Amino acid sequence: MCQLVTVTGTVGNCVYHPFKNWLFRILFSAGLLIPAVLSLPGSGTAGTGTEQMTEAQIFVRQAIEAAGRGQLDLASQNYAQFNDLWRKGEDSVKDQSGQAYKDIESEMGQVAYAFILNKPEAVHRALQGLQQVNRKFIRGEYPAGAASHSASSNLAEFLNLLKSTRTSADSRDKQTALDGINKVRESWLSVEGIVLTQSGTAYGDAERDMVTVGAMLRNDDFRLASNLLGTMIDYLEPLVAKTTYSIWDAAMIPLREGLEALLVIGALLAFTKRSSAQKSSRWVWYGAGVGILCSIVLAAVVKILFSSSTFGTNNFLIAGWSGIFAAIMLLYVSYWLHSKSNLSEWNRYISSKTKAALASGRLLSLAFLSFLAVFREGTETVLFIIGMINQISVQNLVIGVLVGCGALVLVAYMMLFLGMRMPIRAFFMISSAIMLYLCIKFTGLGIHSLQLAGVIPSDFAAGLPGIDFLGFYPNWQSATPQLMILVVAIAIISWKQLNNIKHKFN
Amino acid sequence: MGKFKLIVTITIVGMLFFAFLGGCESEKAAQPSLGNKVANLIVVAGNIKDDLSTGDKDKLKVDGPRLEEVWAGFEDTVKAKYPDSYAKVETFLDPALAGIKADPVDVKIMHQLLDQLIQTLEELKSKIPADPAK
Repeated sequence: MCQLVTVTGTVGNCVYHPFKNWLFRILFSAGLLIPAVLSLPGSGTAGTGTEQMTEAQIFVRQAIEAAGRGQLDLASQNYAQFNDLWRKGEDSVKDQSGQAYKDIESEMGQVAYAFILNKPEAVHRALQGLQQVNRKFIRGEYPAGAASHSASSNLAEFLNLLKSTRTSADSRDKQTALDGINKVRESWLSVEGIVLTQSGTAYGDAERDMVTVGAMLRNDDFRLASNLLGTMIDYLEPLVAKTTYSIWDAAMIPLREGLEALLVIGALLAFTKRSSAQKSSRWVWYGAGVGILCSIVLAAVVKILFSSSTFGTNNFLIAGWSGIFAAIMLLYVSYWLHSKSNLSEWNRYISSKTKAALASGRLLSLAFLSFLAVFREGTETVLFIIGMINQISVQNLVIGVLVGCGALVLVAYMMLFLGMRMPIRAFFMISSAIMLYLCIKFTGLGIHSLQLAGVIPSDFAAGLPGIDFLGFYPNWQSATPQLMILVVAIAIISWKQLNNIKHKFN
Repeated sequence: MGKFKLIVTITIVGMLFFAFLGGCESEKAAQPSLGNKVANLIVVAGNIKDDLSTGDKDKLKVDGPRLEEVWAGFEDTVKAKYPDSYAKVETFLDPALAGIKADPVDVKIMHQLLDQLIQTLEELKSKIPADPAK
């Protein structure tokens, strides 16, 4: 097998295989593109809620038949079986269509009430109603995510109400403003659940501020009322559109980190291949295996820490701080990866340690080197996943990680067993782009979460756009660090390009 | 260099865990009380009972939907933390909601359902620790 990767910067000590190299590039790009395709709208997996309801519907039919014969006890037993299955699968239905969930629960209420009345005709009729809504859901006639959409719409309408009240306060129209704030307080009931599930702080603040605005308006303090209404709009507005991480984001992490570890493993294997020590490559694999195992254990420990606590998806402080730390880590890794002196230092370190291990025959230290390389990347993978765990569904996270690992295994097989050479320049370019993207998104979502938790204020920036893909929000507090990262990245790239040009002329 | 990076990584992982724990505590303090939410739902159920007793249909039209809305605001939290209580609340709440919409309303059955609902909610409330975060 030829030398697979750069160890001391000497790429291509082997015979060049144009076909293999092109094939590698195509598959390498495909590996990066597959997750992106999977994350496209409409390419999601079929809802399991439909399957569960199809299964549960059998018991509704049996209950209808029993009720039709006047056998209410049997109908009740059949309905209880449906109810059990419903309780197990209701979350899937809710995820698939909030409106379907609401309608099914309402019809179930009718059935339960009819059983209490103990009238076979009423039970029969209610069960038929339930059967109809179930059928409608199974046929996919309910709009996807209808309830959550309407919830967001409700919150959007609530915000419009706040804005119109603010306009009335600005124009010192006391009666209209007071009517407006009364409507706000009446509408609060329909949106308080949405606000509470996203941010306890925003919920508490809104309840307090609504009352305060009313008092200010009654005292003719229009300017203060307008300011407070503006503050309410600021902290409630981000809740309408909630950006999360995608399958693609989750897939990139193991792929990127794994490729980095693969570079080192490839280098160690290349060294052992050239040495006279037989079976020494086995130790490299042992080390890598233990590294993977330890990374899995680390991930499990983190998972246990999460599930044993009272963390919920509404815990914006956790999402915020983990996002910020992940962004800092990314910046650090980015610096380390692209600092040539550090990279060559690391390569020299591996080179010297490998040679020493092979010379002394202490193959355990070879295993330790490969363990170090894999566990280091594994630790980073766990860290980055923590950064997004509160803002991605478990399904998307699992699919993303599996897709990333699958692509990584493919690349590893081609590199280590088919002898293909990694397009090192392309790798570093793509890797840099991924890092920059993740760094900007982690920063944006992290600060946004801290704003929702009430740690950082939010000043609306009228001129800035909202870009979901980048976790970019139109407020100065989250946009400024993101823009700074972008400016610094552009400055570094430009500086390097200038240096390269200078180098050529010299 | 490799060891240095590993040490930095482990340090940041440690800091992260502490941040999580600290964040958890702070968020706990910011969360409105689940116990108060349950108490609020008990009040709403009690109001509906009063509406039924006085025969105030107009007030029943306002209080009835409120029962569903207030529950919707924290049912997911109850389901996650107290799954048994969640199932029991739904057992009485769903038919109660159906009963309110019935014409004519069966006052006797509704009183029974609401009493059972209130009792279940009181049991749930007693399970919730005094800590406002719970």
